[in-house]
Amino acid sequence: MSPKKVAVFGIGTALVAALTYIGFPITPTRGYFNFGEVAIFFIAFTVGWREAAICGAVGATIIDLILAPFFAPATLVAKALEGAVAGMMIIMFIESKRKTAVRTAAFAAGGSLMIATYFIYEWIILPLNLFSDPNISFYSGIGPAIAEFPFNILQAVACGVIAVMLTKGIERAYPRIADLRD
Amino acid sequence: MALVDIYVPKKSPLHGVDPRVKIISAVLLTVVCFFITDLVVLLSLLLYMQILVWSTGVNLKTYSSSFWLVARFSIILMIVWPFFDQVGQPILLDLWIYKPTLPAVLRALAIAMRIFIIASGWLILLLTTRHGQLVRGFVKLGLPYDFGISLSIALRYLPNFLGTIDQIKEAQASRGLESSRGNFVKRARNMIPVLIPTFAIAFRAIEGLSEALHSRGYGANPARTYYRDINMTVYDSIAVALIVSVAALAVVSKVLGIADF
Repeated sequence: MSPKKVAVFGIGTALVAALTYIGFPITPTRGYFNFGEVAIFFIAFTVGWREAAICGAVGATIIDLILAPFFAPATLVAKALEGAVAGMMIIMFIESKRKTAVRTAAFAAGGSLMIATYFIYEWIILPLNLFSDPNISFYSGIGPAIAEFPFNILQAVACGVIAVMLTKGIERAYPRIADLRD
Repeated sequence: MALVDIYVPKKSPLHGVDPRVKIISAVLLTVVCFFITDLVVLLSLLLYMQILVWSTGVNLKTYSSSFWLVARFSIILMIVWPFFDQVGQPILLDLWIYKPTLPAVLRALAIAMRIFIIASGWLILLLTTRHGQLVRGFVKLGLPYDFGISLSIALRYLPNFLGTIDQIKEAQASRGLESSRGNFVKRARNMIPVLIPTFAIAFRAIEGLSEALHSRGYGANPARTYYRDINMTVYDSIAVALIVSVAALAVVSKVLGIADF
């Protein structure tokens, strides 16, 4: 791996972790709204899908291991999918002149996967093996997932919008940022 | 910022255990927890984990601050769960559509105990292992060295970034920006003037670090040498063998229906 890639992975992961750590309380279950997704989408928009997936997954998991370790397996998968899908969409439409529209679609696709992963984790994985009684409906464990669902949407949309605006501004201020892409 | 590095420098038996043993144990504990449904077994495991946490010599303040989000999620889970799971008798409360039954409450309690056990397992790993040792443990377990050094860089830079964000927030506050007041939209919008300089600093850090690594010949010699290496003792090997055996036995016996716990 080149020194530049090592630096991107290291600093990108630290940035995702730092922005995941800072936040303010709104979500009833996870406790806080954080800006981690802003960094994940920013890396996906400017660097690449692998970097967004790895920095997003590792950075957010580091913080989850400290604050809410039971979410760490879901976070590892959710953030990796989010970064990878958003980054891949950017690469697919890299020639497009409508950058804002492509970035919006990219964060919507990545964010949807993140929301779906947390939903499935809270609905099916957390209560795994507790439904051996045939009288219990498959939907019995959906409560915590539904409680968190709107807040995860808010998290993805707010961070996506901020990331799109931020990327535009930073690309204008630092044109050299384009060199980070392979 | 103190929460980011929760390592407690003590001389407990768990501090001396090889990081690989602790990483493997935490991962297996997480997996096994999803197979346990019996409340007595879960409670016993939870108490055992608390004894292990206590044996690390951590003070109550660090311990409780690490658990507040876990406790918060557990409480909400216990409240929300009976809305959708109303199977069983007796009904404990009858409040229109909210009719929590005893079996449903016990199922919610089982999940709450699961998440406390998982949290305790990972907390022990983080309380008793230095960042450097943790990364060496992952590299020894097969993580490519390049990703290991990236993880080291991330853990090294994380407190720096948090300090930088605090400084930027204070600088912007002195100009009249309020990043910690108002409704959700206002607070999120007011973070943008904090995020822009943070990203600019991160971008400069990538450039500087990349040049520093390049100038030191990073990657020129693929064979790595280490100033301080970690080595498994006989006790560490026995511990890994025991933990893997117990975890495998538990999962296999549960999947095959041999044991019900």
